[in-house]
Amino acid sequence: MQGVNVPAGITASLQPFGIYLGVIVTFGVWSMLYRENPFYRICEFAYVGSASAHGLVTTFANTIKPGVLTNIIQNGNYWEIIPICLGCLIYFQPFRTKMWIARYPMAYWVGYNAGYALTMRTAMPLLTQIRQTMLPVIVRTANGISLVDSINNILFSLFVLFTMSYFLFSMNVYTGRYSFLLRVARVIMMVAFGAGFGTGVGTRISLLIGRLDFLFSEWLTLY
Amino acid sequence: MRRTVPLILSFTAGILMILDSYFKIPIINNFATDYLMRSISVSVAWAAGLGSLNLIRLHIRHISSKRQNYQFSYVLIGVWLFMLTCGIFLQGNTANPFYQFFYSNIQVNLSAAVYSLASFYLASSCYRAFRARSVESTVLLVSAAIVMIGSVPVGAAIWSGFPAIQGWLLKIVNDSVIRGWSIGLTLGGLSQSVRNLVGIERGHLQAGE
Repeated sequence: MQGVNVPAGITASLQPFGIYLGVIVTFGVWSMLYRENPFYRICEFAYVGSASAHGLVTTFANTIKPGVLTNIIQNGNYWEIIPICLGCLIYFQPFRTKMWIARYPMAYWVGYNAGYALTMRTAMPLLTQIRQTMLPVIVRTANGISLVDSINNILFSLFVLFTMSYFLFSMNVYTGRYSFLLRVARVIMMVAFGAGFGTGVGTRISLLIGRLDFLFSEWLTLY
Repeated sequence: MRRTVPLILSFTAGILMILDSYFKIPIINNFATDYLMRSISVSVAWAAGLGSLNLIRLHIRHISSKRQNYQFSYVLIGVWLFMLTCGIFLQGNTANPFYQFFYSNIQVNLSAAVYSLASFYLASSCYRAFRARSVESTVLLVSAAIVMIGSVPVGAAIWSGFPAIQGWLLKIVNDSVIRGWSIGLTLGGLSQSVRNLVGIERGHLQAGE
């Protein structure tokens, strides 16, 4: 299982074309800004194909290959053939008459994850989150009481409660005396959405800057 | 056979995990650690190709039925086959320099270009989102504007208070709302897990009804 080796000369001779490939695909994707065109579609389909293959190759290289070579062949853990067969049963999914066979691995995974979700591994983070929400109402510092921190702590706990109450479906909070809870919670969540949107804009702009940096520095070598 | 066995399999796997977590029973603890957890990672890894194969099956169908724009399916299948062959058969798999050349120059650049494309559409999305038609949308507008201004150096140059307000919005308001969602999601997940385990929820067993 050593694999084929490509002569180093071939890879080295390809290197100068790497930047041009990057430039071509970047402009190919950006050509969508003008309108839908075949150049963009080629890049789009190439991206989907490449990403799908890369996911498969990564799983093969990191899990399947070492699993077979080390665990089964070297260490003699032949029991691992059973979960391998179980996993392979999922490939019956596309066949309409045999589709029910794919239920077995699916049921195993769902059952395992349902059990996993009910273990302390999930319960502990939940308890930690609840504990971290119970902040001190009066924050004492070396110089006395910190009014700003105290107000912030009260607001934080209140905002958590308001947000949770918005998704409380066990009692009717949509009408009547508790309906104000809903309105306050919606306003608070809108502030959070706005903050999230603002952060998202920054992230996207930084991605664009990264691409422009690639074009100007690596391709055009302007700096 | 078609429905009962999967339910038993599901319940057994789940209950073993719970017993392992809450009780010290050496046989179960060892079985869960040595076999159960390992078997999940092994079986999931071997099933990872389903999505990829479904994608290829779909595009082969596009080509065979000559649907609109079917020519591009050749590109997808060609790139997929090329990357897959290189990744599986070359020495070192993903670490091979030949594979790395195509990965870093095509996949990485395409990914960065696709995500950067979104920034061009931000102007129109901002226009749609930032129209003060109600209290909620006004609050969203003000909050987003403050966070955007506060996170760039020019914001601090305009008024030194912008970064402080931005920090407060993110640390107190945004974090508390996310905490609320997170607690709610976890509680919902726990109840859903119980439903799955005892067989009340059987949506995942509908295949081949």
